[in-house]
Amino acid sequence: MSTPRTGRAPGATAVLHVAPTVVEWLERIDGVAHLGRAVPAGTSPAEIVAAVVLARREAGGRTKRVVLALADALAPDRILQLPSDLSRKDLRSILERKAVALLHERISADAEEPTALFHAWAGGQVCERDGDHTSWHLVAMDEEFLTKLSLALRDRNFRVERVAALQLAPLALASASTGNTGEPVLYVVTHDERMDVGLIVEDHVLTRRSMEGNPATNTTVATGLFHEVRGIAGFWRKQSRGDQIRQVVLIGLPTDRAQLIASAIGGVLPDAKVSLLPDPEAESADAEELRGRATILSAARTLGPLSPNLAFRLPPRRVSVGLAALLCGLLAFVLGTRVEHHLIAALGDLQGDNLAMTTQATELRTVHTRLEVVESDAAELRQVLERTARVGTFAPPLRPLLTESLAALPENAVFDSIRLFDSGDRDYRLEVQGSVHGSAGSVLRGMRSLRDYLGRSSHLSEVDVTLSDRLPEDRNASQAFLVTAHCRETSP
Amino acid sequence: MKSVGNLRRRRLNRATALLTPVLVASLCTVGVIAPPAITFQGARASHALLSSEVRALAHSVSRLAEIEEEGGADRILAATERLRRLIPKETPELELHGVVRAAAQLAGVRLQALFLGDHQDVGLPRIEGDYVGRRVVRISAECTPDSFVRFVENLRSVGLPVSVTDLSLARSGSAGATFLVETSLSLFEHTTPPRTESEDIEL
Repeated sequence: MSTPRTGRAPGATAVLHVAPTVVEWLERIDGVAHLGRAVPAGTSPAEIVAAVVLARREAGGRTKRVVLALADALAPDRILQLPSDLSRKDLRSILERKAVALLHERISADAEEPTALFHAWAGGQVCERDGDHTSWHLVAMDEEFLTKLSLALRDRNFRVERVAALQLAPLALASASTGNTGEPVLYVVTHDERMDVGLIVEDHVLTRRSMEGNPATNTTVATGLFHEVRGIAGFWRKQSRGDQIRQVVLIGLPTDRAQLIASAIGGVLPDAKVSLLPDPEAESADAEELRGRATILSAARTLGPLSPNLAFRLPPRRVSVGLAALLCGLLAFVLGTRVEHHLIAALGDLQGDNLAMTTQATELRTVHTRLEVVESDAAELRQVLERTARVGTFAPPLRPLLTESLAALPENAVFDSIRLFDSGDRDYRLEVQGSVHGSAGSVLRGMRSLRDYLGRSSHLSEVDVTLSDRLPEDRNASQAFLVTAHCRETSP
Repeated sequence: MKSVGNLRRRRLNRATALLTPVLVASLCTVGVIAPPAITFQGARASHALLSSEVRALAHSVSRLAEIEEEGGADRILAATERLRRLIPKETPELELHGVVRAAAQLAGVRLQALFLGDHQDVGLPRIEGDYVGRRVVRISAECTPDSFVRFVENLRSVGLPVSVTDLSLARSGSAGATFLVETSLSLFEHTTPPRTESEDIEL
């Protein structure tokens, strides 16, 4: 049940008034108000709904969309003064406790503490008293009872569009009829055997009083009413420091007596404009005896600050949940089956591929193992080859050194000794000692030729030829020479 | 206008109530699909792993084929064996004496002294426990340079890979054709590796 908080209910909506002792169904059919009444056999929701069916039948109702108007006994309200500086959490807690207390006091004094649904509102400058208190208007409802009642109505296919407290609905109507100007409005709502009198200022009930009886039929009650009106006017003068009440709205009086009572109240409040709802002078197709009651019940269709929508949330229908579950289950089953089918088919293909690849991989692993062996053999070959090659590098080449050195000697030279030795860190050094004879020119030529020849050798480097410093006295005498060179390591 | 109430918050939200079966159904669907989906994921992972392995191993096939084209594994083994045989096994000292003397005699080298040293480690790599060491052979002799060269070649021709690491030739007389030779020959052989310090400690 979720509806707007203000405005009027759609035209095709009936008003269902539920009280512990009576159920009323008001529906406008072709512009004419039809009212049906039934007395419930008991106070249980099922018995009340049975009475609703009867009342609707009596009214000749066609729609099943209703505004549920709860009687004062089912949705009691109270005006509370609470400190203005309360936190929202504390305020909610206090109001909830007050609502429970209100229900306990008004509905089920003997029963266990009920669970309360509540709605409270505050507003208007007059609500602030000395700045430290706020006036709150609280409406409370028994959650368990209303839930059961709403579920029972829903089970009979009644659709509750709104919920209103019937004692507050005419107040909204009174305020609306004066143009919602915020000026003080004195209202008188006449029910069959009860009368509510009060003062509304800026959409807030400032004071109110309920009296038993009907002023239209009981002069004592009418006298009491005038007395009460006078009291409220005095209260307002005092409250507003001399201001007068200028608006009076009388709701629900029978048309034949309404003018009389209006004139009497006009006498009590000479400055006030007295309005009547329904207007006796307005044309209406409604039956004369129904007009007052129809106006009060129809007021439940009007939402406003004084008559909020008290609709609350109900659990979803079991059928809806069941259908949703069935639909989802079916969808899940179909989807799951299809996906599973595809998955299993794909899995079969994949497992086939995997089997083939496993076989292939096994064969390839054998090949790989063979390759590893062969590569290991090849690595060993490389190592052996390298080692064999290194064996030959531990000494300089003998034959080329000796043959080259000896072949390079010029004809006029003889060698006396040859030394080949490791001068450190495998750096081989060659030394050839000998003597040369002849003229100085031929000696020099011969030694230069020797140096050049050995210098071209691929096995020698840093070739140096030195002659002894002492020159021979005889030109044919021999002169000592020394050839030194470094040897490169190569294969033997 | 301020208002406070509990009309809107007490009850289970209708949308929540309707969404619950949707959620439950979705979970059921997931529950039904999950086992084959998990198996499928596992199979996909195996497939990826096998594919990767097959791709990697396919390279082995082509590599082995290349090797086979180049003569194959047998040729590698044969070449390795031949190379190994280029370096002889350890020759007994008595036999080595005989071989050196015979090579000298054939080359016209008159040996004056022959000394066989122990094996030395020269850092050649060990391959499959196969160790090659160097034995130093010191020789004093009298010969011509040519005959000394022949002597060395004679030794090589009988399969002894020798290197001349130190040589001194000095003419034996002022006009003589022969020389006194002092030389060190390095003979490389397969032999038992020398003990390491750690092995000594273990013993």
